[in-house]
Amino acid sequence: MIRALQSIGVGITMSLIEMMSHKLRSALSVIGVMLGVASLVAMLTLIAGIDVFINRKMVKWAGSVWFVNRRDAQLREKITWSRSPSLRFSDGPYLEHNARDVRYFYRTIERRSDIVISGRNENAGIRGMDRQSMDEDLEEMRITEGIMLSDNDFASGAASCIISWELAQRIRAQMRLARVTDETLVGRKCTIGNFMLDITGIFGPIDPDNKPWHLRRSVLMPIVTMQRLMTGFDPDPGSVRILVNDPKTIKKQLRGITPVLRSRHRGVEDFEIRTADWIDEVRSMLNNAALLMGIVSVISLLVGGLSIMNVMLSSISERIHEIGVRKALGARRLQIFVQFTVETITLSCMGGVFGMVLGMAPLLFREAIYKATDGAIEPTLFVSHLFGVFGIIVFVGICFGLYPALKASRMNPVEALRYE
Amino acid sequence: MTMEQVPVIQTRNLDKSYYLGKERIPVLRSISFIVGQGEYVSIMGQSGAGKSTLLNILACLDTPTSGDYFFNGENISSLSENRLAEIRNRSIGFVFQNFNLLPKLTIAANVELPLIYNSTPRPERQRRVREILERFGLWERRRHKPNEISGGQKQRVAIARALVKKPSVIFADEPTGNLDSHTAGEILVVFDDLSAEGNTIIMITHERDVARHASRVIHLVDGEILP
Repeated sequence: MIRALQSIGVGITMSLIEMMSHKLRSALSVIGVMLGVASLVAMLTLIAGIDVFINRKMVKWAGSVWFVNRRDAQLREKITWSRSPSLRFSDGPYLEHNARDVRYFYRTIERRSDIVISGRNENAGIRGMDRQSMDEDLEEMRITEGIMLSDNDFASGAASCIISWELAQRIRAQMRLARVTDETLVGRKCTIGNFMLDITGIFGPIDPDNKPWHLRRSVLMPIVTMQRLMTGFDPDPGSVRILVNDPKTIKKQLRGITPVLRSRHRGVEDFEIRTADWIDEVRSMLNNAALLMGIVSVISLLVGGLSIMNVMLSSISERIHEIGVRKALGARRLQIFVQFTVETITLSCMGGVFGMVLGMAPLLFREAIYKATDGAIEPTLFVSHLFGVFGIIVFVGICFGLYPALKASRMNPVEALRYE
Repeated sequence: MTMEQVPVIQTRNLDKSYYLGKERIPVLRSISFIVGQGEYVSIMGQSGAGKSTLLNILACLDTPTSGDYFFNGENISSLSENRLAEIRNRSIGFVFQNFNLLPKLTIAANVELPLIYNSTPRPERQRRVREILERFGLWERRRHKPNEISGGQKQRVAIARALVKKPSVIFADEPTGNLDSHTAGEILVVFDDLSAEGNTIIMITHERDVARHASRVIHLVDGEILP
């Protein structure tokens, strides 16, 4: 054991001496591996960046299922459909109670409507929500002016609402055109149809680059308010969004959930089911892309490995006599073998380390890449990836060093000594 | 037979042939001789007489085609390569005609090499390298590379390298062949001293003057020992 360790120590020293005396040759052979590793690491940081984005953004949607009214009925079907009550708000609580795999129903009613604030017209998405759904929806938002709706507002169905930053901007733009000097919106009334709500606050995105479409122009109010003033208790909610117990097996769980809803609709499937399964599509696309890039990187690593092997072979044929001398002095096969293997591994590790540093370049431009891709790619590097890459490098070194090292260790000392 | 009486080298009917295609070319024929502890033997012969081949076998670099070779009483005619390497490392010192120092290593590192290969601990290695280099007046030059010193110094480094592991035999293959006569004389004095200290030396040469330093001369002609 000690002997083997010493052989390795000797090998490392010898290989460093050897590489220092052939700087250009060593550098050239190192470059091959360096480029391979750099592309591998760069790819990993980008892929990991996209993956982080997907996980962060999409986990929110991952277990969600939306039931929406089907609108593509043929005439013949319409007659059958008429016996169904069609999609109702109360379908949600019903599913929550009767379908085993439904964990939660997002109490939400959606409408689009014209609104009037301080005499200015706008069109906006109107949403009544319970506290939990609203909190979840506004996770990446903050109140920029005024205050959030209170628990009391939610409980009593107070005639209060909050409006989105973009809606506020548009109203204010109109106000400026009309030369209205007081641009205060909080505290004013928001008129929707025949009803007037107090604006308690304005919300806007925490991260200015992250502006969810569905929130851009919207008015949010407690669901009880919406039901009391506008829609009645059991309207068509626009969509019924539920959360299943296990996001990973949505399809399977839906097989239990759908019949419950169908039976409530008197056997008519007049609704469509939407899931965020596009996440899986994106993910599999991403995996395919990663695979392709991985193959390219591996090929370039192989090329790098081959160039190292080439260098080692030529270095060995230059050093036949030296190997003979070493053997005459009593070097054993293993010691010669280790010396050359270590030399290859050292070369490939040098290439690997430089390559890793080079491959981390995307991290330097993290901000720029993040901005340019609208937050979709945030270059990220996992330490575990680095260790993995390092393992690959050592593996490449061993693989491509094996043959030259064997060749060197098996040389006949007499012939090697005679070689000039 | 007690340990002291075991000859360092004993050969019995050594044969060595090479094959050129299918043709067998005998190089050594029926070589039998004994070298005792502390002897200074010179093997003389013209080029092509088989001196180097004999030396390669005696120095455990090569194995005979037939016959027996006992080194310190151990029959090495059929040992594995690793075992031969071990014997070379432990018991054999080599001095070559063209020095064969590794050009990229310093003088100290060159001398240290055999000790590295037999895993001598580092402090012990350094102590012995210093001891031997001081003896040959080379300690001041320990950080030089071989191409920065003279031929005579190179050969002294090579002798130091051979001696550093305290071998039972020193093999010298034309050690003065690449040196001018003055320097060659100096090197031969070194060998005389080593012999006087009780080292066993086997030297190959084709020069009568050189061979005269040895206590015994073995003449090799066409692969056979002259009686």
